[in-house]
Amino acid sequence: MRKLLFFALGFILLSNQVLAQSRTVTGKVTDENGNPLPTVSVLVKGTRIGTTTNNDGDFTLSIPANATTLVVSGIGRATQEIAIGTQTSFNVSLKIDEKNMEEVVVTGYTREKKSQFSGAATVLSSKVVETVPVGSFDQALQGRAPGVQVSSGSGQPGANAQVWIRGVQSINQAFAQPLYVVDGVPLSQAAFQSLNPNDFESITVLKDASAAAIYGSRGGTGVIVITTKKGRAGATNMQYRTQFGFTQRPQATNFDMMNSREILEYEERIRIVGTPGWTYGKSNPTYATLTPAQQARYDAILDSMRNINTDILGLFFRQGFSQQHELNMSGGSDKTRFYLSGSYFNQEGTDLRAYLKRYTARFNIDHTVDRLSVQFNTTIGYSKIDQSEGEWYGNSTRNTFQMSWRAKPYENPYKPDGTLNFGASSGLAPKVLAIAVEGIENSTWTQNQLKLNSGLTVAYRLFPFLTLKNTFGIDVNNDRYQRWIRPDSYIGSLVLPANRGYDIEAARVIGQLINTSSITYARKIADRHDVEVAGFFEAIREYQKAIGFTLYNLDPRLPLTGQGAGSLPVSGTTYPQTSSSASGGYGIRSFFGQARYSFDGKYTLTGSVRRDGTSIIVNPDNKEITTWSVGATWNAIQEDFIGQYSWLSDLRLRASYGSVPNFLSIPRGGYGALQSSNITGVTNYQGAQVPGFVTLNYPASTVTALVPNTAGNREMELETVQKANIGFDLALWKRFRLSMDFYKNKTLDLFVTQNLPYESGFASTTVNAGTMSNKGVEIMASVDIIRQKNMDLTFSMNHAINKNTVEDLGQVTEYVAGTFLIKEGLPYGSHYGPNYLGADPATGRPRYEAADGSVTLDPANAPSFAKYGTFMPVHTGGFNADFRWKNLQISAFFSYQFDVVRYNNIESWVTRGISGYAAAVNQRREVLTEQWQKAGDVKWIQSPLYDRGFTSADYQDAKFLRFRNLNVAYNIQQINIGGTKLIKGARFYVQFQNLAIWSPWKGPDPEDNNNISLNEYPNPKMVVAGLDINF
Amino acid sequence: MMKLKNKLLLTVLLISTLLSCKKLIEIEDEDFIKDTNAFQTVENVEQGVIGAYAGMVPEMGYLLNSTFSDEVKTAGEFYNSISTHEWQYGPEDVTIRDNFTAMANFYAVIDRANRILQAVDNADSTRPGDPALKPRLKGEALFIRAFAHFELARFYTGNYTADGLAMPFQTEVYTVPSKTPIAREKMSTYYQKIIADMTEAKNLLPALTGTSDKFRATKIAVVGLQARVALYMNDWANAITYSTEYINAIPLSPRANFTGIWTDANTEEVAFKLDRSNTFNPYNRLGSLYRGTSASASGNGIGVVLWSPSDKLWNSYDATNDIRFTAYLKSEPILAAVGRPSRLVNKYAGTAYGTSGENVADVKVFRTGEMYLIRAEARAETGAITGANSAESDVNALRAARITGYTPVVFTSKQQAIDEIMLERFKELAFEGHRFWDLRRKGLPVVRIGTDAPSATGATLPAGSFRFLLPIPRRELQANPLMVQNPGY
Repeated sequence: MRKLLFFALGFILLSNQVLAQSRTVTGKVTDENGNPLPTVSVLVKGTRIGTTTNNDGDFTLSIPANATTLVVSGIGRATQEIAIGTQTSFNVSLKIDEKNMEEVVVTGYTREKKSQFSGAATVLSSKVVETVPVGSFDQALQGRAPGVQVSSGSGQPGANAQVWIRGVQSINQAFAQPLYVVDGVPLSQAAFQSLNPNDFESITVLKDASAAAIYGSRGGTGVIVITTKKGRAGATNMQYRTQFGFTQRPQATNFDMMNSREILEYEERIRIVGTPGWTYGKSNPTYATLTPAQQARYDAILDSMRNINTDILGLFFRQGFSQQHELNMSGGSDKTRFYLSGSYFNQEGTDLRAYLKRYTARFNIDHTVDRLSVQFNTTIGYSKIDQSEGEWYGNSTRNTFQMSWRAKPYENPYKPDGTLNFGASSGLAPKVLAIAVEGIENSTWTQNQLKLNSGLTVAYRLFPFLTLKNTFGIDVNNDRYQRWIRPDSYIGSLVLPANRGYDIEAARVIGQLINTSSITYARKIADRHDVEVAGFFEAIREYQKAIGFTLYNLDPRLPLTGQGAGSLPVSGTTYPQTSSSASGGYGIRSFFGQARYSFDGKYTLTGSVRRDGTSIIVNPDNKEITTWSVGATWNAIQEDFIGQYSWLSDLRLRASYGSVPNFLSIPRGGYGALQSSNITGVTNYQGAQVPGFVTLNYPASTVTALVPNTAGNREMELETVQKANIGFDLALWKRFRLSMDFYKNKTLDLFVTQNLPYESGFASTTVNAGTMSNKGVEIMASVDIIRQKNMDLTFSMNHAINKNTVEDLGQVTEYVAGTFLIKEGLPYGSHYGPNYLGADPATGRPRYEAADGSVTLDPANAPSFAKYGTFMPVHTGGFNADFRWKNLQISAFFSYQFDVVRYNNIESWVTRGISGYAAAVNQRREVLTEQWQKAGDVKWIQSPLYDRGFTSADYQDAKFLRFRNLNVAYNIQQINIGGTKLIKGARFYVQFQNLAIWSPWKGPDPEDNNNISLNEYPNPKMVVAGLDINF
Repeated sequence: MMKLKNKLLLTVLLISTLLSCKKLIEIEDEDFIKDTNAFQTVENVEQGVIGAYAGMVPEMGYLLNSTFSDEVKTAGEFYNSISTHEWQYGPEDVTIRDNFTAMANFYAVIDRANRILQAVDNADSTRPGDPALKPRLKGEALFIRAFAHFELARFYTGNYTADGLAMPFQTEVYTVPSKTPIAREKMSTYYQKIIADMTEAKNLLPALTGTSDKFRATKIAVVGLQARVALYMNDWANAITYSTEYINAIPLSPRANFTGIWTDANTEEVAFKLDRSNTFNPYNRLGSLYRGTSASASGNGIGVVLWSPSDKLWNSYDATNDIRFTAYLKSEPILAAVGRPSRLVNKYAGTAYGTSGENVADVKVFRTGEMYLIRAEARAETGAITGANSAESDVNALRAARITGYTPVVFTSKQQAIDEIMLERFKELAFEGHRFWDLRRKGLPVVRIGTDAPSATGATLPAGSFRFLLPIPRRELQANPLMVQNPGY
């Protein structure tokens, strides 16, 4: 096998040197404490001849006669070169390479030494995403880096998270995500399910202007820079990784819903017409008029229903099985290095249908010859997601996540023969559970994605101090979506117009081409002046195209296809067989430069300036955008008067300031006319800037009417975020490390909704007229509590506080946006609604706070207030403990957020206490005791005769502390059988994800990516067991 | 060798990227209709004209004239209209009902018309009939623009005086954000602009023929508007000229056909109407302004009675002989049987309770009945009180057409003539959006009789009250620094 692979590599390796071997050397490699270091590469310099150390740190190597130097290198260790001479035995001690591991910040265009880096960035090792059983790696970033808020919106395998870096920067595009870049090539937004995070080597979050301004306007929302694993010179390493596990079925929540007996009693108590509890109940006046036989029949029906208590969670959800397999290989010579991997990932969701399957391949190679170096990194992924029926329907009785608390447990979804009891549903004979299950069984909603991310870099060192470099990259997502309902199913028979299901299919390509050319001058003058100046030219082209259709009247013999679809009935409302397509995209042309000067390793000044020209802006005057930043670093530990204290192992001060426009802030439209727009769509980047039109049918005319529907605004320009950051890094006794950053970001030219004079023909438009700020503190600390030969214990934490304030709205001081009030002085996302004060003891009517602070019973006099808080948490963070005892490693990781309020729409439904809701929505048990029933009752829930509406009663604290991950691993030493090495080493682990959560929130999951909770797919608990074997 | 290759490679890469840079910032999103491509051909412009018709919603004026005046009373089933019915509206109260703001609606229609006028002359003719269609489309846009400006004047401005304050007259397509907001004009110039639009429209539009589509403007539709505008300007001579032109073109309906006007069985008397069907959202059901749609035809299934006809109106008709009583009003025994308010506005009831056509009725914008009353009033004001071609002859002709066995009246004074004309307008034009403006025009108060008044303070709006003009919404004052609020608010 290995020979075969080497043979294959022979085609790739551009320079092979075959040298005669003549003698054998042996040796032992240890760390600074004398512990043996396994898997360290030992290589004859200038050749591919080499080996790796075994678990005792020993190596044996045959070397050619003319070999002069050994190169000894290990991951995270400083590489050493050792003259061979006549020696045959070597003892090598490799020190931790702090330069490699800690001191480099990869900003994407450059690598900065941390001692010279003036920005705010968090470098995460691959450990935070590697082997974590989530389909989209961004889900694993929660709580890992301070100031990076990661909110999972769905437990669907493969669903991406919502990521905010240092808070919401924009009102109009509040949900804009950061820019993701892999090895210099941008990734398309929010589609990571086809990437294998095990290929990642580091993840760097660029937060301030100094770090992100080099990306120009694309860096406005922050940048997440990913590097992937590269091969190292030395013996080839092969690794097989596998993982098996389970995703736990959703469990009953703290809602404490009524059981069948209770909800039937409740129906009778509040007399809900059309429900069994009231219809068959003894207190219904008609009961007394019945014959004894009829009465007995009613009693029997109710008695039978009381005892049904269907296990709804068991009906809709399952324990999901997941597995992963990966084979990777790395190695190379000092000229050519490679890393390649192939992986398979399969995770079933807790929803009956949800899963993610993924196949990936990665190949990274770099080659250096003379002054030329070439690097080619590429990954191809193919994934298939089957999405939950619930997320297709949203707010619907077909949404199983909603039905899990909403449905009345007295419905028996099965007939006596065990088949599903679907059909027309009514209050007396509910069939919604059966219909939902039948729907899941007879429909699909899939996304198949082919993903390519590839970059080719060619660098040429013209002079020792001058390098030319060009990177060309492609990122393509080719998605195919299908939503299909089986024509001969019950739900298929409900689909108009032909009552034979439907097939919606769409295909979309999103591609990005990038080409970056640069020239870099780097020189150290007189050993004290370190200068680097670089100039760049970059071109980016984004392209989107989608096509789609909807077909009705399917052929029941042909599954999952539009083939065989019949014609449609033309009488009555016509349903044309529709299809559509749309395309969009943008270009960016950029010139930029960066300069850095360091004096004596102590003082560093940096600066960058970038000019982007982009098609995304319609107005020719606003197409050119300037980004700039300046930064300074004082590496205080290098000063003699500070360095003299031996307990102080590191001290550095950083400051930066810059102005970064936000490319994603521009309001945009989409192509809603695309028939299958509910499964995919194309962005219309210019749509909001120019007056837009819609067509409509005026019944008097056969001519389709065309009317302007948006005012547009041709003066739009990008929002600009002014970012200031001050920070320090401190280390004591080489055991305790602390970094703190203080920042203030101010968004200028903030897009706000502005009233237009009515003479314009429009009510409002979006203009650059506001200001918003984010101020915050970020802390990152870790301490090595135990650091011994056989035992380590490290505790780390990070915490961020972000305070968002809308500072200026231009023409007005406040406006209502959906369920928010956007108001000067308040944070973005401030909930806005009437203040509910409980039931009026005399009448049971809902009591509200009036404008003057008094209590009113009249909803018309109950104004909305904005005093309840926002869904954007002020405090976020995480902490973890890493413990090692000999070969056993335990890592526990917690994440949390607090000072956050969300609207619990589920709570609002299940405690509503009125027949309009309780007729179709099960209620919480507390409604039985906490609802007003008669004069004098002092209760929270109003009388069933009155609705309290969308009020403060259901704003809830959504803070949580989550035991996000627990990993217990055992490292297995080299295994030899009969003197033959079987494996170099292995690692066995058991990992728990979302192990526990503590939160005052009622319901399935306090965590979500938005402000209102109603239908979410909750984040599941998972357990996996894995094995990594090195050959 | 290697080096040379490398250098060549790099050079090629650098040059190729530099060449493509200009195009990158010029990429345009081309897959949607926007201002620069919306009206390229005459066919497109006609789409715009249909869009402008689709935006005309005079019926909200019907409802507001009812609730502001003495046409309706609350039926007690649903009443949250204190602000309108009891005249408590203010500049904050921008959405008086159903998100309706007259300024928003009519300026949007004006914008649609202005876009047509901007494009029509240069639109490409791609079909054989296009050259002939162009002038008609232009005429329609001018008519629509004049109509909408006149409606704005009715909502927000007082009785005509040359120096009185009218509204901003919008002839431009507004580009956002405009640096030049427009101010309210003097009535003299404002009305002259309406007249100019009407005159030009009349020249361009086709005459009404037996096969004309009454959902689109014709010369006679413009005449109807001209007559109405002349009446509001107290331009009695033109009011007589235009109403006579209308009456000569379209006579009064035979009594037997009168009810059919309201069920859309015929188009007697109507020069121009707006189509309303149950699929045309959101203004699909005119009758729902007065009574909600029904779940069934049972006593409890019939829709909520929002407004009942006022007792004052109810009692003003000869219930037996006046065809208008049965065409406009209805006493519903099914509702009476379950103790619900049973007096209904029947004018726009559409098809039976609970059917898809319930409350669906077209908006009849101009009718011959109104023209008779315009002429009668103009004649009365110019001294033609009695005899042939007088206010008296017009009132008698109209009543004779509506009332079985009608005995003609004799007018002996101008005041009697005006009083009778106002009474007749009350009865003939009920629920057609005239009453409140008529009271203002004539300097009369709103007087609700005891059984109609919702409250003691809701019984009378004194003559000349500032509330006869609607307030300019606060948000307009914020957005347009040149805007001036109406007095009193």
